[in-house]
Amino acid sequence: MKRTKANEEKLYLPEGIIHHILSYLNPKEAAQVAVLSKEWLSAWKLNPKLKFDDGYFKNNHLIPYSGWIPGDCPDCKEGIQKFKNYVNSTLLRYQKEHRHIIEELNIGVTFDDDQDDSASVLNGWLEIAVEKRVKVIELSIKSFGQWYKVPKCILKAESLTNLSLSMCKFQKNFEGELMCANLLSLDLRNVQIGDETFRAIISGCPLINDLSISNCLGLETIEVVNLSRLREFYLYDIKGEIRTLQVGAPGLQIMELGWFVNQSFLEVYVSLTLKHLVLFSVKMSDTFFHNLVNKLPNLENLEIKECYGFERISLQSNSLKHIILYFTAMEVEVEIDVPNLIKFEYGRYANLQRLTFGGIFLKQFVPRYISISSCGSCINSSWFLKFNGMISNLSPSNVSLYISDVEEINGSIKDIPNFAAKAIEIGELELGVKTRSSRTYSSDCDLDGLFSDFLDALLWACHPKIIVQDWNPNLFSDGSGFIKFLYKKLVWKRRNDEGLYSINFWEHHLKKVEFEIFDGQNGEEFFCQPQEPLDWGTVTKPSKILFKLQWQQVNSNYVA
Amino acid sequence: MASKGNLTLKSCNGKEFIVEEKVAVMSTTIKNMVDVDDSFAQGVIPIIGVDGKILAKLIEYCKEHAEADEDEEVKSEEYLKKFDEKFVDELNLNDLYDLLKASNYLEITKLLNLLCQKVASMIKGKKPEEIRRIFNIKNDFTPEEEEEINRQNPWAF
Repeated sequence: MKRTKANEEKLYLPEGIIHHILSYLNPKEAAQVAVLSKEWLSAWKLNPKLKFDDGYFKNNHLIPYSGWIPGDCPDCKEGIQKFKNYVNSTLLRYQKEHRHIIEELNIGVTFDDDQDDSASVLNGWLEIAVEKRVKVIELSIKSFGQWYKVPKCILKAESLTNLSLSMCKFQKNFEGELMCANLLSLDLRNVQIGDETFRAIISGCPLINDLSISNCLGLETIEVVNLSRLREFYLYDIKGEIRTLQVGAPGLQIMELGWFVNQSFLEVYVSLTLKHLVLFSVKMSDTFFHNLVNKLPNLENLEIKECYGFERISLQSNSLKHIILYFTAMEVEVEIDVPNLIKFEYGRYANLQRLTFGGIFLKQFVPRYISISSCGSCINSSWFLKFNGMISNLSPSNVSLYISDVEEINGSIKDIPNFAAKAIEIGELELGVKTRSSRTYSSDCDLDGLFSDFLDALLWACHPKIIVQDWNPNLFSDGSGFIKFLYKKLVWKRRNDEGLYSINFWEHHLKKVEFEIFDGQNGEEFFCQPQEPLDWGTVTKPSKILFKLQWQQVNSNYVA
Repeated sequence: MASKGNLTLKSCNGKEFIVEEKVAVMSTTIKNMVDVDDSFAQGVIPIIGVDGKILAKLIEYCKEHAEADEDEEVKSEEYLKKFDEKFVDELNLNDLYDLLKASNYLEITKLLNLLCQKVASMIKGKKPEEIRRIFNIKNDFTPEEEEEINRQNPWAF
């Protein structure tokens, strides 16, 4: 009796925690929870964070779908009517009950043929929420070419802290009506808003710390100068409407800009406090870095993805810790003098030979997305020569290397041993292997043919102290193909070198190999000495394999 | 007696833990206590309603995250993500409930978010009977009542 009571006590959850759990569920999942027990039902009925989406009501389609055109589908129209009735009755219940709080209102709704009717219904919902002192409003209007006119009640909501709008439009004259001065976060997507209106909102909401604008219409000038609390600023402009951008917020930490085509962007003024800068598909000139990046004394993270219009990047910074550079197909010269760099990701098609480091100590070197792809010319002997040259710039070479998107090789690398090079000793090596979806790898034999040459060439270019490989369940039918391949290549083959297999050129420098297998099944580490033949049957579900390699000092160059 | 920079936390069943202040103040509740009343920083802080086992778990979590906040080079984001995953995966149901309530009371926001997300992920895609079984929830509705709830929200079922 006593025990039962203790258990009941234990498994009771306070309402606040149930509400917190519900915030991670979609409207449908949350509504299903209501049927669990009286405790959960009553928590659900009082949930202060309301999420509605008409996608669950259309023609009994439970999953929201886009592309639906009003009028095309009578069932959908009926569904939307049911949705409106449901939201109406729910919100009226909250309105009537004094203790029912609305903290958050999130609505995804399709505007049907009768737009005026939809708008007035939505206006009514928002009025209830504002009356209940709502803090967060997220509106997502799903329609094609129809913008919902932002009602005055939103601009008057003093309680509002977060506002997110999609497919909405602001009326031009609302002077004196702006009372949402407590706004902390503003997110506008596909919103029609003129320069004047935008300026009025920014000056009327001085507490904003998070501002996100993407693909708005009618907005040409963005001046964010007096927002003393602004920490994060995101601007995406795929339509190319922005003409002037000035972000001088004194406390700005994160800025992300995307899709700029307008060159006037280069005149951007950014606050010196910036720590994190992301540029995505931005056209910029060679002088860009000199004018912007190198003058930011606090910049720690820099991401430049698919930007264009420049030939050379020169980075000098004592503050930078993380750099991510992805380029599209073009040659860019990269010079990096960043003594405190921790992590570096270097992208696709970049010219490896042109990457230089000045007096650098890299703790973790991560050139991701070096695509060793089947595009033929990408991966060949000269790629490995460049790769060898690039890593020789890293000194002391205490770096970890991750090469992702390793695909099968078409280019010729058979002539690699004939090139003179000094293999560079590196810390840890990990390979992210990717296979072509059209292929299936049924036997080890396939793997040998596809990756053997690549591994030979890689071990010609560098001598990793550790090779670590995660088990990739999606890769091969038996789940351990690549790991078995590595084992065979590095351990097993060495023990059977009585003329059966030719010794690879890199093996002359390999003194000793040890390996550890992490068995994912029981989470236990399973250690195996290379002298004993490994019975794969004892490894039920390898999660990771770790090869520890000891290399001879490479003093002289390889000789052809 | 805790040395300078350390705090002593005492569980409801009398177990004492000496932790660094930066670890303890991951809890907003403890931070407020220490900020308001200096004597807490010197003496023992009683953690009401949290037993030694759960308190040890909380400290384990806060320690990792406090250290990561201080030195992101040693404990990277990926490391923390793996730690979090392992932390929640190893919990049994009673510990999960106890930790939920303790992190709620002590206002350890990061941990509360993590645990609630875990519960939500255990709920997603499952039928009510399954959810009840996993969380040991007793169905206290009459069949008529259950029918009525389903009738009110036909879109959800």
